[in-house]
Order: sequence, then C-alpha cells, then structure tokens
Amino acid sequence: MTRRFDFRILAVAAVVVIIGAGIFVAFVAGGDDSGSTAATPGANLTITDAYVYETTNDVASLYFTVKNSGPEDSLLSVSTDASDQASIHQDVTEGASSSMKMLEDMTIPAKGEFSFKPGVDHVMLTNVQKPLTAGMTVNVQATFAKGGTITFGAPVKSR
Amino acid sequence: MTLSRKPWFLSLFALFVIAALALTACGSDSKSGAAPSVSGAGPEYNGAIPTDNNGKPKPIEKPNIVINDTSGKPFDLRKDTEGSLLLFFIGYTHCPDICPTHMADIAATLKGMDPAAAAKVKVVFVTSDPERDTPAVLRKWLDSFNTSYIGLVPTAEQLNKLTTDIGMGPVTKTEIGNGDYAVNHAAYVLAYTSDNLAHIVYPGGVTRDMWAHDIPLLATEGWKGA
Repeated sequence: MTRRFDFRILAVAAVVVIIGAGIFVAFVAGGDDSGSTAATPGANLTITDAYVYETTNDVASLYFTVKNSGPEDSLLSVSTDASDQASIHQDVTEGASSSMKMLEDMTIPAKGEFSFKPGVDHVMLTNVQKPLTAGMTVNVQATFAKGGTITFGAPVKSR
Repeated sequence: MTLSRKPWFLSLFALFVIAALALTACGSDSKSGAAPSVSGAGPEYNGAIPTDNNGKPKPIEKPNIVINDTSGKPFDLRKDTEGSLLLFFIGYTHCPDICPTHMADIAATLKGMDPAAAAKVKVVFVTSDPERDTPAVLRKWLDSFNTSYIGLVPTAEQLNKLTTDIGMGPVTKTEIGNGDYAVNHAAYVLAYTSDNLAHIVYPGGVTRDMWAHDIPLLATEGWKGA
C-alpha cells in the first residue's frame, strides 16, 4: 500500500516538473520576444491578446493585454478605425449595482502586465459606424506616456 | 471599488471576493478553495450567495410586478415565470461589456443544453435605460443573442421598484463624453429557482463553463444548496 502511494507522489512530482519546465520555456521564449524589439522606441511594451467582440449595435468593447518589461508606464489614449471614440473604462460595482467609470489613463505596472478583460476593464468604442463581424480586424492605436504610440490589429470575434 | 454602507452588501461583497479568489485558483487546484459559495452536502455552484450581515444566506425575493414587454404586452414577473428557472438581469443595450457578455454566455449555454432542460429556463432582461432602449431597440438587441429572451421596458416608477426590490439602488446616469452616457445596471444576474427565490447570483467574470455547469442543475433540480 505504501509503495503504491509512493508511486502517486512520484507521478505528481513528474507533473510538477513538466509544468515547471513549460513555464521556464514560456518565460525564455517571452524574454526572447521582447529582446528582439529592444532597438525600437516603446520596446518595453508588447501588446497581446487583442480582440473586439462582434457588434449588435453602435457600441463595442476592445480588450488587450499590455506586457511591460520596463518602468511603470500609463496608457493615455486609444483610437481605432472602427469608431469615432474609444475610451478607457473600468467596471465599478457598488453593492448590487454596477456602472462604468471613465478613466483618464490606465497604469501599466513596471515589469508586469495589464489586461483589459470582460467584466473588469475595457476600452469602449462608441459610434461604431459599420457593423463589426467575425473575421474583420480593427486597427488600434494606443498611446502611452513613455512607450509612445503602438499600432496593432484587433481581430473581431464572435461571442 | 466602493462599498455600500449597508452591511448586507458587505457580506455579499465578501462572498464575491471569495468567489473571485476561488476562480483564480481554479486553474491549478480547486480543492483547497472548496466551493466559492456553497458548503455542505449540496452540489457546488459557481455564483455568489446573498447573505444577511451575519453571513447567513438571505435569498432575494422575486419582485411582484407587471411590466410591458417588447411587444407591448404586460408581463407578470411571478405568474409568467412560474415553475421556471428565471435568469433576471437589469441592464441596457449601450452597455458594452458586462450586459452583452452575460446575454451571450447564457445564450451559448442554452443552445448547448438538453432542449427539455433549456425549455425550463426563462431569461428576462429589464432595461435600465428606457430613454434609449425603446421596445424595438431592446428587441433587436436581445434577438441578436436569443429570440426567446424576454425584454421588459419599465416606467420610471416600475424601474425604481425593481431596483429597490433587488437592492440595487436608483439608476443614475454618468456622462462618458461626446454626449453619450452610461447608466448603472445590476451587478449580477439573479437566478430565481421555481421557489421564486434567488438563492444565488452571478456577477461579471462568470465564464461560459460556469454557466454551463450551473444552469442545467438549477433548471432541472431547483435549488439544492445549503
């Protein structure tokens, strides 16, 4: 019985080692990525996981992650080719009520990352002129205090 | 994040925090966190439990109210949802994030469910922005998720009663630039089981997988929690 138990521990340990190795590989790969763009301005910041949901009316939400390998920065403004306006919003909950708060800027922590996520924070696109459907790409310009302006594409996803 | 001064919400909020922590832990090992909301022998649910200020579960009663639906017909919230699992939300169509996310995730869950169980679910969306959400606007928006969703367009008085009944407080407008405005909405979807009580509520951040687990359970078995 005890021997069998030992095997289980071994199996768990093996899984832990494999996961650890995966994280290490991901970490090294991530490091390589940021390294390759180090020569350009704003190289401390990398945008990943950008997307916009299909629209049902003239408002849409844009989500993305900013990875920062440098000092603290802040996202000052966002514009897109799909909307007249893009504003940084935070979902604020008070008791049983939720609302949105418009933020002047969003802090991107030093050596860290910030994600816009459904139900938490989002960039609200207002006056979206053309319906957005899956397969389209919204072109986004995000301006940071230190990192300058970064242009990226956000694919439109169906819900 | 600000808290209401009412102690009732403090406990509810605390449970949300616990739920959020448990969700974060889900990826690695969910054993340590136990169920985010329910302990004891019943099934594990993914939402949060409304409690009184002693931490004792305090279900929210289904509001007793009749409001016109998007076709202009009166909808009796109690009579017309009797025996069903009612997923109830107060929101608005210009809400870019939480409202459409909940509506889309619930629609996906219903689509993937056993049709007999899905038939026991009624989704009622009450607009907190009747000024912009005319019956036609609300209908079109709901139809983009699921044509069986029920949309209600309340008068100011009815809206006031509803938000008071579920403890949401009055609806207020916030300017968000360019003449556009946001209004507040319910912080969660209330799940009323066939006993006309919401023993459990679902805040933003609840994922499609969580809905897929909880909706069939609540629709077919009713509330089995502590």
